[in-house]
Amino acid sequence: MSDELRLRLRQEQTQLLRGLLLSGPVPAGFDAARVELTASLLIEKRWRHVSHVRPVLVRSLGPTGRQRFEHHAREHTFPPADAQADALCFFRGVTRTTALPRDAVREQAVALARFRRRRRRAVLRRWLSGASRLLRHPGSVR
Amino acid sequence: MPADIGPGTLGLGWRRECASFVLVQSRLGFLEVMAESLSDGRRLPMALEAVRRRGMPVIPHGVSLSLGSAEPPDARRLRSLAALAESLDAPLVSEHIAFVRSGALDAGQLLPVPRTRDALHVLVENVRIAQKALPVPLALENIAAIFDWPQAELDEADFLTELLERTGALLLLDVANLYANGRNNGFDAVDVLERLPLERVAYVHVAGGSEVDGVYVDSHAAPVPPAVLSLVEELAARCPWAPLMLERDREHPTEAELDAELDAIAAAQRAGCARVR
Repeated sequence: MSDELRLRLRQEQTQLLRGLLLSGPVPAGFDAARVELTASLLIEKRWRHVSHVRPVLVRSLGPTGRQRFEHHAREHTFPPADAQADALCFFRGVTRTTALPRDAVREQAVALARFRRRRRRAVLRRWLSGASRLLRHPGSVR
Repeated sequence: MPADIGPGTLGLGWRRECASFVLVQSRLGFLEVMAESLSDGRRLPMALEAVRRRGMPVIPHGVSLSLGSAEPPDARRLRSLAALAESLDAPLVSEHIAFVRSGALDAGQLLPVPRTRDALHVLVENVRIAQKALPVPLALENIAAIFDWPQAELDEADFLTELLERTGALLLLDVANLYANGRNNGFDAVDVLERLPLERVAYVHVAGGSEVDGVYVDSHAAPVPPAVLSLVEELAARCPWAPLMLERDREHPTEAELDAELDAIAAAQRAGCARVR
């Protein structure tokens, strides 16, 4: 019974998320205005996070930056905590139609290099943490 | 031996911006830290480690387990949360009654679960899976929801109560979220408060919000409003021992303003406790 319940719940939640994140239809019965407000607030949160990690890019886009981000956010979904991936995708979209100043391009290159270094360190930390757990409990293999 | 949160103590949600306040103050009895900011073996910020060594309980608070999802909670996320609880010697961990993702679609945002018996059955199973993986008790937080699922079978009080009774989990009661939902969805927050199993309260969140398009949003970006302080007083009148924690995520206040916020919460608590005697 639990598998059937999970399957049905997954279908319902996926349908809601498509409406919320991908501008899909809001499922029947939901207050569409409230779902849209939630979607807007989520985009606003993503904009804040991206502005924090790419201040030079945002400054170089000027007053049109927010609107361009809105357009990007409705086509590409990223959790707000994934600001680096969100910013990179936004940057790539912008550069398809706009020549950015050198310091905005440099900002992206530096951030990408830093992000890749942190990701390698995180992978190493996870590996070391797993290895030390295995040494302490040799019988446990997960 | 984990240091327990003292009854009726005041706490604060750790943010980098409040590090110097946390180091010098003596009124805080506990801190809460975002679990995901410390996952994968990241070192504790110096100020946080300093107060922890002095005996301050630090509670890891997760936002990404997605206990309300159709999928069971991810084993790797659970291991990470369990490891963090152990490294902090935390008395408990907390998470949310919410879903965040479904399959590959990840909102990265706490979203409400349907208040139906079917969804509750799945949620109870997920909470039990999480409890088995964690070395300390789990407290579940009620979230603020701008929208609700249609065709609810249970109201907020009954849903929460049944979830807690079936799992034995503790309650992280967020009075700001309760206020927001009451205001946005037209119910009496005090009525819900009265019907909750308050003996299960591990600690309480208190925060300010903002109004957007006529909807009260739990933004954690403003001082705690009088209506939420009033709810703190109502809670303290029924649950005088509940530890109370201030949350502030943005528009960070000065240290003097933080003190004033904590003063206001303490005053509401005293007013509520005075009604008990």
